[in-house]
Amino acid sequence: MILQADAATVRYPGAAEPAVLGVDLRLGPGELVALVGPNGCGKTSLVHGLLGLVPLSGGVVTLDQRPIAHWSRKELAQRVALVPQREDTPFSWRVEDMVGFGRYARLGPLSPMTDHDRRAVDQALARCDATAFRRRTVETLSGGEWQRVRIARALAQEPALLVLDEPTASLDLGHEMELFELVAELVKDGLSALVVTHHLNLAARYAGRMLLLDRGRVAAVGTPAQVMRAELLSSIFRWPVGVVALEGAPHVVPERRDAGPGR
Amino acid sequence: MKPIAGLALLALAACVVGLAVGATPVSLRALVAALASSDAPAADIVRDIRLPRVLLAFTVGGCLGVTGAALQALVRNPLADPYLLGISGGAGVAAVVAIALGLDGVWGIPAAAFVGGLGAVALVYRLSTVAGRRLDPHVLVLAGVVVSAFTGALISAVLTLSPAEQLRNVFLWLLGGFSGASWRTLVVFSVYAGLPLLALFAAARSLDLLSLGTESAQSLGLDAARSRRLIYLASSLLTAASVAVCGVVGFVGLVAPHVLRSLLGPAHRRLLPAVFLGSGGFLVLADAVARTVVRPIELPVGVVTALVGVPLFAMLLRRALR
Repeated sequence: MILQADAATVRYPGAAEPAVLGVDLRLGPGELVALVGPNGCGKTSLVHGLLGLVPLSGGVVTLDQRPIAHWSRKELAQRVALVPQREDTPFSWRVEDMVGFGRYARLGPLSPMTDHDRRAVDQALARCDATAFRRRTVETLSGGEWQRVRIARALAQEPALLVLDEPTASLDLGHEMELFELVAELVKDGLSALVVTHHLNLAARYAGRMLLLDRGRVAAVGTPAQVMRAELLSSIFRWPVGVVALEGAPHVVPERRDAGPGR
Repeated sequence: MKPIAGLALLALAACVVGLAVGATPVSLRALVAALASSDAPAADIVRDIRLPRVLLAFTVGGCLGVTGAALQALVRNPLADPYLLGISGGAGVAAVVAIALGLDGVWGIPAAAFVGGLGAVALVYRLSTVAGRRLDPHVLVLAGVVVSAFTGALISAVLTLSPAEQLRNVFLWLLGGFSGASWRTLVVFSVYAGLPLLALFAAARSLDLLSLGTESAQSLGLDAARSRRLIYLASSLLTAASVAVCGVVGFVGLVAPHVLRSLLGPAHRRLLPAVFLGSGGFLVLADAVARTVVRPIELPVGVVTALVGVPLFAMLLRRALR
């Protein structure tokens, strides 16, 4: 088990309700787990709690059997890489600089990059198909290229676990598929991944397990077939949906309110 | 030629100009002679007056520039500058109070200025932390303006309440500039500024990461809260030391970082040493202009830096709000 949460609870100071309450999670090597749920259900808060970015107000999270609070940020960054939901910078970084930041946790404050560091950056760029634009500055990139660069930076960390927070939020269909295929390939090569996404159907096709959150609590956890149940999803997303099987994976189809053909 | 070597040559040229011009111009040959031998005709003026002055202006300029560059990455806003964020103002108030109370030793003013600078940082930070814990870059600049206005008002109050004898001292200091520079002030400044300057150079990689925002910086392995505290502390110390020896001089932290970032890229390991040389040379030249443009009257050097800095600031502001 790489990452394990037992009754993890996150409560922000001054908030009436906890953002995350009593969440259990198991993530083993080479597993792809999808974290899904409505807007504001606590997905990002849970990710932050799992990675020690916010303190837990209850429960335990362990990485490699060691409580997350006992890890220094540098140690943690060598084991887990996060691609945050939003990110911007006021400066014109080159793509290769940006990916090079993935080596920060392995470098001293003044020591230059070694050949090994440079190789890790080159490989990460190649893996994410970003070598061609490595010398461009980040503000010139398209949305899809920018996401690939950020995943390349995460790979340059040489992590065991990759955490992606809504990686396809602003991507079109083709780029979205490319990204899920990339993550699936990385998982096939032994990386573990936790992917926060609103795309239930892609989550069901790519993830081995899904965790459905609702108002900070686990509403369902298990294989896509166990989680993707029409009545459960309808009540949580407050919209009537049907579930159909497609290529062996359950697919959600939202219904029109008047349930008739287009007028 | 490497960019940094080119900058070093430019900075050296600025220093030569700074040594040569003034109320009594010194030719290049006389300058070399004066630096070589203490018996040369211009030796007194070059060695005892101009050399410490030029070196002080250079180091103060370098420190303000590096502070500006560091603050810009820290608050993720290319408009940040120790003057615009109100740190200089806070340091100024405390220094003025110290002078008015007669506590104006060479070591006392920097210490007072440091306390005032830190207070201003805390105030600006509090004012600009809106919507939970988010630091809005535009609000930050506004908060800096508000704190600067407030410190200006406090300085007026101190001036009004000071007895006539102290009033002159306070006023002379407020005008700012390097006319009081001596080997002694250079030593005092170096003692106060040395460690914090090294701390900022050593934090170059952390500054790279901080410019990406807290969440990214932390997930890449940076202890963002600790790193921020260290950089604020070092920046306040450097600003305070600068304010103590030359008064409140604005915009030095804006000009060189902006120009050099567009030439060399934003990576701080390359940028900060270049900014030190560039800002140092810039302030030496600004001081030379201040000494000569309406000879024999000496303009406050802050007037010259503002003439260059304000148009640049206006341009950056337009770009930031677009």
